[in-house]
Order: sequence, then C-alpha cells, then structure tokens
Amino acid sequence: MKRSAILTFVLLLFLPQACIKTTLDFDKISGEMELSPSFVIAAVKGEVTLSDIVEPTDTLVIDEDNALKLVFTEEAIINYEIEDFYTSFPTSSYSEIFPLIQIEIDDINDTLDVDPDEDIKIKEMSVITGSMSYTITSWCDFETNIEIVFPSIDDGGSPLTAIINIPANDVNSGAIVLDNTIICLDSDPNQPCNRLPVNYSINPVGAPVLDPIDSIRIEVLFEEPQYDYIRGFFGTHVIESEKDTLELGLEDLFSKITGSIFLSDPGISVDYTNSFGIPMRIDALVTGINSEDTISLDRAPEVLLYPVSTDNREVTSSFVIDRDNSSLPELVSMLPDKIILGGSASVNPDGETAQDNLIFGNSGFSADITIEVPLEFRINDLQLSDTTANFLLDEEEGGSPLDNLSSLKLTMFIDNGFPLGGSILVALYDSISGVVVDQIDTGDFFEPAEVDGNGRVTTSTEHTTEIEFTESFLESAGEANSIIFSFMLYTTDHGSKDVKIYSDYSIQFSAGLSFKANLNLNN
Amino acid sequence: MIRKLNILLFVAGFFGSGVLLTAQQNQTQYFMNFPQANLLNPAFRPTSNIYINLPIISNTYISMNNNMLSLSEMFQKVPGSDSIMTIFHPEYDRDEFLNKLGKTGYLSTEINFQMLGFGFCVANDWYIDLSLTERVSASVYVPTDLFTLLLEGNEGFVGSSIDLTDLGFDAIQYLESGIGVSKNITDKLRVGGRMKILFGGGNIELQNDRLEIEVNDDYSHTLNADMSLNISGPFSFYTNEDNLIDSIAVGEDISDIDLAMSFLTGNKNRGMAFDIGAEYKLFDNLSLSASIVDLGFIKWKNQTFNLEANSNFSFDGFDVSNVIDGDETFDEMMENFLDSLKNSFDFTDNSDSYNTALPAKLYLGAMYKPVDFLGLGLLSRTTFYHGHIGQALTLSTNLYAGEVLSTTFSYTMANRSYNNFGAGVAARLGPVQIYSVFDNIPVSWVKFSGSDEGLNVIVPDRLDYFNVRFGINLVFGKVKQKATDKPMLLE
Repeated sequence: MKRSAILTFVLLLFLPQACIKTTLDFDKISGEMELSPSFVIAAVKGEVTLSDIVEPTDTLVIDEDNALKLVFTEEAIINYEIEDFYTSFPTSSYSEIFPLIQIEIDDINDTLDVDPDEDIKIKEMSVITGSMSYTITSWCDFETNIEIVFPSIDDGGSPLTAIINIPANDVNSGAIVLDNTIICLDSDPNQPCNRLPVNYSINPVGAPVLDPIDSIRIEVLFEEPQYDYIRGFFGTHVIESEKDTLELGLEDLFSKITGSIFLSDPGISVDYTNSFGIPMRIDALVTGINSEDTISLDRAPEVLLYPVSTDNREVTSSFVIDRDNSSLPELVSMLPDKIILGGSASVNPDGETAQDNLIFGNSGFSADITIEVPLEFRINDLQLSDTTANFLLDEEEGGSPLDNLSSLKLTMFIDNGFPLGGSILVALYDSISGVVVDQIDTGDFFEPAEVDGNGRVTTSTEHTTEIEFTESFLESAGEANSIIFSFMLYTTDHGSKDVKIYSDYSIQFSAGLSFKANLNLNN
Repeated sequence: MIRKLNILLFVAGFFGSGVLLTAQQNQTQYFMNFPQANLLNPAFRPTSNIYINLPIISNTYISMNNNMLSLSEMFQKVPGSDSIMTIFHPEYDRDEFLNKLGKTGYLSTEINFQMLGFGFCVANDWYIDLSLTERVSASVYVPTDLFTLLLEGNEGFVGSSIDLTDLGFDAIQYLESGIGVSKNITDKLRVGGRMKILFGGGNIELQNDRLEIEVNDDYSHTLNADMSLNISGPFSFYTNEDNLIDSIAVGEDISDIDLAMSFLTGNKNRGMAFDIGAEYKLFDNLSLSASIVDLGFIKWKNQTFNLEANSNFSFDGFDVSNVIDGDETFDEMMENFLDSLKNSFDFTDNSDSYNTALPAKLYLGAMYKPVDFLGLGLLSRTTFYHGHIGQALTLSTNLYAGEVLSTTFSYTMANRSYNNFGAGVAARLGPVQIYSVFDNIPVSWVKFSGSDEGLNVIVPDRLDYFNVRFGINLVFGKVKQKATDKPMLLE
C-alpha cells in the first residue's frame, strides 16, 4: 500500500502544471518576411546541324563536298558596245570638175580618202547595207553618160560600177548602193589603208562638138555604211578608268573588332564574252585601306582573248583573281574601311602586228564577276564589342527584374562540332561616370573542335562552362545604364591553322540554370 | 490590414501547425472502468451487467492529431527583440522546422457520435453489446519534401528525388453498427469479438502509389506519378475530350430526398469490419491483452468517380533545335511541350466501385495491479493505414475506487511527441456513469494578444496528439466477484 502510494505520487510529479508558455502579441509581429529558395532547372537544349539552319541560296552555296562558300555574282558588270569603242568615220567627200576638152574622158583615176580617228587604219570593210551619194552637174549642151567604177569594192565578184546619164546642162543626184559589198581600203601600196580608188569615164552621147566651157562636176559623198566587220588596226592606246572609292561603311563595325581573321581562299572570277577582235590587256588596280594598313591586290595584268577571224566572231573565256596570283586574301582579311578601284585597259598593247584587228558591227564585251569566298579561314582572338542600353533596367518600376535574384548561375554543356571557340564578357557600364561597375567573363565558353590538315573537323570537343552572376553583379544590373558585350572568337589552335566550314557540322548543347530567388514579402 | 494579417496568421498557425495521420482512438481509456473501454478491446468486459448509451450524449469522441510544430515554435520571438517572427522571417530557423517535420507532416481529425449503445451480461460470463455510431474522419498528408521545395527550392535535391509519394488526403463518413460478444474461455483467458456493418455516406481519398520528381545532376527532372483519386459522394464530375476533369458540381442532386437519405444512411455503400481481442491473466495481478480493431473495409458503389493518373515524364530543357532551325516558333515549342506533358499522363476515369480499408489498429497491453485500487498499464498501439504505420506507447496509472470511481493518468509517446500527458475519470453515481478521457492535457499554452478588437486568445501550445472522449452512460448491476478471501488461520 505504501509503495503504491509513493509510486502514484511520483507519477503525478511528471504531470507539469498547465501554464502559459509564451505570449505572442500580434501587434508586434514582424512584417519582415522573405523567402530565398534555390532552384535548379534544365533550361534549354538542342542539337543543330549547320545544314538545318542554312538554306543554300545564290549567295550561300554548299558544294558537292558540303563545304560552304559565299558567292556574289554580278552579271554584265562590264559591258561595252561597239559604239563605246569605235566611232564611225566622218563622211568623206569627193568633188571635182572635169573640163571635157582637156581630159582623157574615158580614163580618170582618183582616190577617195576616208578619215577615221587618229591611229585607226581601216583596211577592209564588209558592208551590209549602205550607199554613196553623188551629184553630177553638167555644163554641156549635150547629153552625157558617166561611168563610175570602184575597183576595190567587190560587188559580187566584180568591181562596183555605176553608169549615170545626165542630160544637157542638168544636175543629176543619186546613190550608188553598197549593199553586200566588200570595200578594200588597202589597195594603195603606198598607204594600204583608208583609201578607196575611184575610176571615171565620161562619154558624150553622140558626137558633139566640144566647147571649152563644156564640163562635168562629179560630187561623191561616202558615209560609213552599216558594216558587218571592219578589218584594220584601231590604234594603240590606254583607256584609264576613273578611280572610284568604294566606301564600305563598316568603320563602326570594324572599329569594334580587334584581333585577326584571315579568309584563306577568296576568289574573284571574271567570265567574259569578247567579240572585239582587238588585243586588250586589263590591269586592275584595287587597294584596300583601313586605319592601319594599305594592301594592294597585286594582280598581274590580264590579256583578254579575242576573235581573230570573221569565222569565229566571239570568244568566251574567264580569268580568276585568287590567292595564287594576287594578294586578295590579305586584302579581304584586312577588313578594309574602303576599297579604291581603278585600272586601265590597253588596246593593242604590243602595237601593230601582222594580225589585223577586227571589229564587227555588233562587237561587244561583256563580263560577269563572281566573287567566291569559301568559308575557310583562321581567326585569332577576334573580338567584337558592342555597347547597348541596359535592357535590364525597368524604367517604370526602377531597378531590374534580377533584383529578385541573389545569385544566378548558368551551366552550359556544349559538344561543339565547329572549329570555332569563344568567350563572352558582359560588363555593366555607367556611361555617365565612365566606370565599369561590374563584369563577368565566361572564359572559354565553348572550345573549337579538332581539325585535320585540310581544315575539316575530325573530333568534336565537349566543354562545360559555369557562368556565375554574383550577387554584386545582379545588384549592379539595376544601376548601370549600359551593358558592354564582348564576344571573342578563335578557331582551332587559336588561329594557327586554316579551318573550313562544312554543312554537316553540328553542335549539341544544353543549359541548366540555378538561381537563388530573393522574394521580399514585406508588407 | 494588420488585423487581417494577424487573423490570417492565427488561423494558419492554428490549423497549419500540423498535418495529419488517420484518426486514432483514445489510449488512456484502455484500462478504465467504463463500457467504452471495450471499443479498443472487445474482450474487455464492462463492469456493469447492463449499460445503455443514450443518443449523442453517451459517447462523443473528438480527436485531432498532427506532427507539426507547436504554436510557440511556429511563432517565435525575434532574437534580441520582442517582435514575433513567422516562418517567412529571414532569421527563422527553417532547417530546424523541416527537421522536426520528419518525412511526412500530417493532420487528422475524427469525430464520433454514438447514436445508440446497449450491452448486457448473459450468465455472468458472456457479454453482448450492440452499438450504432456515426463516424467522420479526415486526414491530410504532406510530405516534408513539399515544404522543402516551397521554402528552400529544389537545389538541395540535386542527385536525389523529391518524394511526394506521401502526399494525399482522405475523408470518410460512415455509420457503424456493431454487435460484440465476449466470453471467458478459461479462468484466465477471455476473448471477444465484434462484427460491424458499415454504411458509407461519403468518401474521398487521394492515394499516391508514387509521386516523385527526380532531380538529376544535369538539372533535368523526371516526374514519376501513379496516383488515384476515388470519390463517392454528392458530386457530379464533367470531363472534357482529354478525359480531364472540366468541372465539378456539388450537391446537384441533393434536393432529391431519396438520394440525400441514401448518403446519410449509406445504403449502397456497404462495408464490414471486425474487432477481435483477448485478455489473459498471467497472474492474479498481471494481465496481458491484445486486440485488433477496425479490421475491415467499405465498398463504395454510390455515385462514385475514379480517376487514375500515371505519368513518366522527363524534362531536360526546352528543345530549341526546331526554333533555331526555323521549323517552329517559340510559342509553338512551348505549346508542344505542354502537350507532351499532358500526354505523358495516362488519365483514366470511370465510375467503378472501390474499396477503402479502415485504419486497423493493433493494441498490446499489460496491466499490473500491485493492489486492487491501483493499476499500472502499458499499452502499445500500432496503426496500419494506406501503407503507413503509426506507433504509440502509453504508460498509465489507474486508480480504482470500486465501481464508483476510476481515474487514470497517462503518458503517451506518439507522433514523435514525448510530452503527452493524459487523464481520465469515470464516476458512477447510481445508474449514471459520467466519464471524460483526454490523451493529451495541454501543459503549456500560448496566449495570443493584440490591440485589434481586444484579441486575447489562449490556445494549447501543442495540438499534435489531442483527443477527448466524454459522455454519460446508464449502467446497471455489477460483475459478481468470485470470493477470493482466504480463510484466516490462527497459529
């Protein structure tokens, strides 16, 4: 009994007295409330093959090896017509009065001289259509027949002949048709060009008594006919083209770029069609200029092919300007601010030779230019920087959306099948004070793939990057008024070898975000 | 504004201080002398030969359980200040909060009203009881990982999983009619059993066989879900062409008296449950007892709706390949993603009947009576429900003053709570027996005060294991005690 009572008492001791443990005064409840959960999430992923995002166009061409190149084609960029090169010779005229009593009226030989531009020697002209006009005035009291013969004009196998009857004391005007004739102007051994011999015979009708005042005036006008071709020599001269400066307008862009890019194999192909049968040598003078350097194309003059006979009147050919015969890669890769274009065309640069020049009635010269820039290059720390307004600033609310984050980290995994690597630098910049408030440098954001000796990727490169936006950076994001982005690119082995871009290159990536929110719930 | 916030915080603190486990019976009453003790072990014979439970007033049971923090832990004082801080305050120790939650937070509540009860002794050996009880209970389970996710984010789960499998809830209302019988098998062994016919009124339960989000090292997430929602009640569900619930109407047909009555009486939702128990007197002053109660189920057939959702969905980032290719826009990509997420769920809905098991309890008890008026009890209770196992252990001191007075003081360890002191008293005044039993007498209280409209409320600091049973029984007669007096011998 006693033991039981003691036990009961002891147990009762364990029952504490009910009491008010604490008093919570809601008037003093703190309004300071915030949550700072940390979240991670796989943000984006993707696998992109270049051929998926690049559609072949006239400009971007994928060749049979899947290599990419940029192609710019300009048709008929050079176009000369015959009128641009050769001007018809002026009308040649011949006028002479023949007193009938003093001359051998049946054997009058003379010459009609044509007068083309200086240095032009016309030896032969094939006429499609044309004529020589004449006016014959008679001061005779009898009727007269006049025969005009052009011994060097082949009119269907015979010399061109015209017989003209003129009544007494009359004037007769007309035209001698030259259609389908071949006019030779080189029959004079002393001047085998530009001369057209003419023979006359004047025959009175009947047997009139000649008076000393009886005379005949023959006037002939020779206008250049519509010709099929002209053979001869068209002089030696140089046509200088006016220098033209091509302002690329890329100074602002290029001023934001440092480092070097070298396009290894650009090329310019000139495809031309030439129906001027005249030797011609083209000398292109192209110079690239930027703020630091001047580089000339250094391309040797190009001699154009030309037709040498009337049977083959048109020559089609081409020539290229590339790294083997010029400094084109260096010129393009210098990132010129402007390009000075100039040059000259030398006509008959070797003077008169045994090979006559030929021009045709429809002679012309047309050239298409094709610029090919294969995406084969090497880049060494090419850095492009640009400054933008701070898009993170909320102008209405103030601050930045990132204010609700106390940390932000981007984890990027890239399996890079491109021979390009790079890094990104993001700097918060206060343009008023000119101070970079804070910045983040990603380091090697993605690393270039390995390439073989031909610049083709052999092995992709896996790389994981963590970009941490620190709390101070996130806080500063709401203060700076500008953001400077600097992208740095480089090719495999930091630009020490050429790489080529193929359409089957691909890149696989995934990005995860981890961030710590800073949710202010204060009331 | 401040007043509204205060009220909001008060309500949130009061009810949010715990999350639930299924309803539990009062532990303290196990060794007491009143008829309701045999609800926990049908082998127990009431000390009266006859008892009658009157409607409503004879047996009312209210319980609330949770394993959440106490109010004084939920609302703490700011160090160095007399200000109060909530869990959202930056100086609040959330790690400690999460650690104290354990794996799953729960909140459960149960209310029982006995509509009718009757028990009587037959031949001083058999005891037969009849009862009709309305039982309502509800539980909500919230895995701690969900709190961690909301408060701390998912970064801490990288390389592991956010296990939300324990997320669930259930609510049930049913009418229980039982008939119990107990009998001495030997002088030392008494056994009893009770068969209960159950009439289900309404039920809703969300079960998760699996709800898990794996957070991988590459920050990809994999959702594995195998969930089912079963409902029986006055609800009408309308689904869209995707088999997803489009709208829910409550009580559309409740005006139908027959239907309303069918829910009240549960005449279509039938169930059955058994209680079995035994008591063995190892020695005259030491008895052992064991019982299993509420071993049964209800088959829900009336106006049921079942929805099953299975999903295995991996998210390793928005695939922007097609956006870069130009094959689709960003908006189309997002739309496709949402479609993929939706299509990853295999939704099945039907109106099939389904079964719900009752939360079966296993009681193991021992009573040592060093003297007739004092009993020292040890009771273990193990609860089995939806794959969860709950364990409670109670020590009790029981004082008996004949048939007139029975008092009990108990100490219970349950729900990772170790300061649950209970008490009970049953007093018999002629044919009237009044009793009241608590498993957890609040030993500390929290006073909420404020200037707004004279806010001045005192509430128990902890409500993690609270229950009370009280009522008035009509009892008649008593057990005939065998003569145990020994003859006095004079030396």
